[in-house]
Amino acid sequence: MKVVVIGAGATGLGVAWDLTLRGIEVVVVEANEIGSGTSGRFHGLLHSGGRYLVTDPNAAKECYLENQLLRQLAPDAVVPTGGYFVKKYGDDDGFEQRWLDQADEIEVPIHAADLKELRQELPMLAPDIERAYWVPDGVLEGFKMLATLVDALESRGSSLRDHTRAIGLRVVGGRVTGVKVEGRGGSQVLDCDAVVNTAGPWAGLVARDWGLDIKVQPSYGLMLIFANRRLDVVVNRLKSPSDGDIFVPHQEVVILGTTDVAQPEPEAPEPDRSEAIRLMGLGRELIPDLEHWRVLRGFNGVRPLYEPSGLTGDSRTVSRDFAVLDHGDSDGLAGAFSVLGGKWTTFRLMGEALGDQLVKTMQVDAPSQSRLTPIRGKQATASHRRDPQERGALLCECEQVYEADLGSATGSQTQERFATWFSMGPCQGTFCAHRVLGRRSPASFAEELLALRREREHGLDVVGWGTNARLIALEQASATQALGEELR
Amino acid sequence: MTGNAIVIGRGPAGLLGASLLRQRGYEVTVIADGQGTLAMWAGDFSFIRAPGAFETFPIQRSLTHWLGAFGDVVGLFANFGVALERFDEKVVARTVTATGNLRPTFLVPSWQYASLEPEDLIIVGVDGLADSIVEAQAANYRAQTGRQAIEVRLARPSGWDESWGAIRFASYLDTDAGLTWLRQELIKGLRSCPRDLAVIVPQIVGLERTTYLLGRLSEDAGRTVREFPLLSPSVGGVRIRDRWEQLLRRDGVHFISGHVVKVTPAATVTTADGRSFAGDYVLLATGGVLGGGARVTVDGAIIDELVNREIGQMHSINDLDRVGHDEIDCLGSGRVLAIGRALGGWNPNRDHNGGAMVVGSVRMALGMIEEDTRAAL
Repeated sequence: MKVVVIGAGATGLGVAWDLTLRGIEVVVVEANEIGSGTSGRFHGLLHSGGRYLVTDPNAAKECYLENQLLRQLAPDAVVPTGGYFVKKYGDDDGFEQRWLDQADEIEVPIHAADLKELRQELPMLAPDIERAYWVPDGVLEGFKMLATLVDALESRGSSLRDHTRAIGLRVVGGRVTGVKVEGRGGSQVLDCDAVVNTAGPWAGLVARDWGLDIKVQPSYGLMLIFANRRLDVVVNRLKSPSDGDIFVPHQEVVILGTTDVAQPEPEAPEPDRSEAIRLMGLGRELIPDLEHWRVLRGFNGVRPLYEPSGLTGDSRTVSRDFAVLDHGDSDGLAGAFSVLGGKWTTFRLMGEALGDQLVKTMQVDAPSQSRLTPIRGKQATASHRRDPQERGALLCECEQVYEADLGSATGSQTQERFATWFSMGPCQGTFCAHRVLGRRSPASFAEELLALRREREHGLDVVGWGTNARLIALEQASATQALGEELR
Repeated sequence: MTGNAIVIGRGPAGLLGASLLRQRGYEVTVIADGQGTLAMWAGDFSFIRAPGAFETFPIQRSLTHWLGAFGDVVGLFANFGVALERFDEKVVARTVTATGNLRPTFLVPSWQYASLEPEDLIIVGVDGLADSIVEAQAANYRAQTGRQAIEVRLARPSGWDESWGAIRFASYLDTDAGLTWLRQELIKGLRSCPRDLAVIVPQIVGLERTTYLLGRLSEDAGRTVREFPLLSPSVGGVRIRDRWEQLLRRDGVHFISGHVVKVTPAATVTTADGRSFAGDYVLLATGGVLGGGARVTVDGAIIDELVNREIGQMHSINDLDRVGHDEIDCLGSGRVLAIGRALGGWNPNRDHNGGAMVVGSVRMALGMIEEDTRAAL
């Protein structure tokens, strides 16, 4: 049996992994690159469920259980930081009580924090904290998880085709027999017994190609990245989920999330400066000194929320839970499935749920293995402990990338960036971009360099204040004067 | 003795201001809190004389005046041992960057490559030097100019390790072992190359004895060997900074390390640690947003906090390059004078007028001080 999965984000790769473990061969087609949609644009929180205890208990329970599982199954991509929910004087006492009751009910292990110890651990917090609770939040290293999933499923006979767009289905007698694709490698039809739409915010567009009407409710959120890991734990505000109420330490940076604005299109809009200023104001309620933190950039991510009854206009009331649709049942299109909504944290569970539905419909006896199988491929994780003489020149000082860390030139620039993290540190590529791209692709590096600067600039512009404004001025002077590029 | 002047900042504008004031007999104190921007500067002065370019200059002067001003800089640099080459004022000279682009320039230290017309070149790459991307550089140079660029690669020296940046390479080349390595590698690399082409090497040829080293290499190679500048830290800028500050110190200029937080119209200066200084004049050479003399607030206001003035708004990131004080006499008292990037209206990134910005604004400020001093007598 063969299944085509559309979309190589967390949902698609989670589905592909679960199906692969059931002995089903999967081809994942991705229009762009791994994680280039929603999965590469999130704050990195491995939910404990704390955030949804009151508003979405079902999602909260799933998040907690998956959180515990992923710590076992993919320890390299999960950092068990823990987190706090902090309540300020004046925040709703009733919400706090309901939150505590729900934690008890759903069995998410929380405990009250000693405020004196909390203040020692997090001296930057606002002085008017009334109470705080520890929760088992963590950090999910999204690109590492995606790369590990691809490696794991490829080592078991499934495959990924990136830069390949699914443009329609071949249907024989009301049953899907193939998926038409175009892109890298030309146009062709991939034979299959079933197809799964895991295109996230694009799921509605994919369904439209199939002649179906699916109500996804994309909503975008702005996040701000701050240089330096000033926190080692996640900090949430203990109130109804809202804008600018969560800080997540992610590798060497801290991410402040987020806003939540419903929009009709699946593409992330350009970040907006007035929204960034508003987010700063909200963030300062928890961390008053935030203005003096070195901000690196802002970026928008789009949530693929699912609303069975259609657009509501208010995306925070839409469930963070997910849905599996069997279009054979509902639309008479046998062998076509969709997985909609959900959270990064629950990607494995979404894969399992789809897999259960798919094998049931297709009448195959193949129980899920993903709950028990560590996510591991053949490739060892990139070693940074090579012989110093062999590492070559240090190309990116911020993220300690050496010549020997560069991958093969066949991977895309984006893949390289997420594999090595070059240009993602405090200098945002000012000193390293030409070094890395010049070595990777000497013939075309001038255009690639320009493209990278443009891409980096999008998120810099909106947070052009303080030290970051100075960095932008330095970046521009270096590019135009030291390297002779045209001013943008 | 004509009076006391305080210069804030040790970038090119600050040091030029300090030099010219000292030459005129002022007691000069330079206060700076960092390394200054000279280590980010290749060491050449840009000054575009294309038709229309002068209209973008906030300081309007005749070409003769400009040439005289740049002539003074050539004389000054000669005093601390850096020979500057000035190009024909009618044609724009270009230097080659580490990425193979051509960048306009006017006054160039004799170690740096520049030419009036693009020509066929031999470009040398050095293994183990991060900024050396010779294959990409040569490909881009060919695409930009339609000229030949022959790549030569040198193997890293035996003592090399991964911590070697441009400065470390340069101090290695100041040793005899370093010179031997470079001569041997270069002769080997050039063996099969045509004889009549100029050779350009990354800017790592020593901090102390660059001119000597380049002379030896040119002799060995039988061709002119010059450097192309790299990104920060720039060895060329460091060479100039060290020689220039040494001369200033010898001439009695005081260098004080401190972070200035306040400058008053009466030319008093206060540092973050509470020291205060009083002069007859203050030269504000604080470098705009890039140098740290102006800060952008979250809501986009650009503020010179030293003198407590809002000097502009950031609407787009290109505003960061050109915002500065409207007037050299930035507080209206005639005693606090904004020079270099602290004076707005220049855009070296777009207009390649950074050399003119430094030279023009410093000369203008000096003229104002001299006039003021004469009036007081």
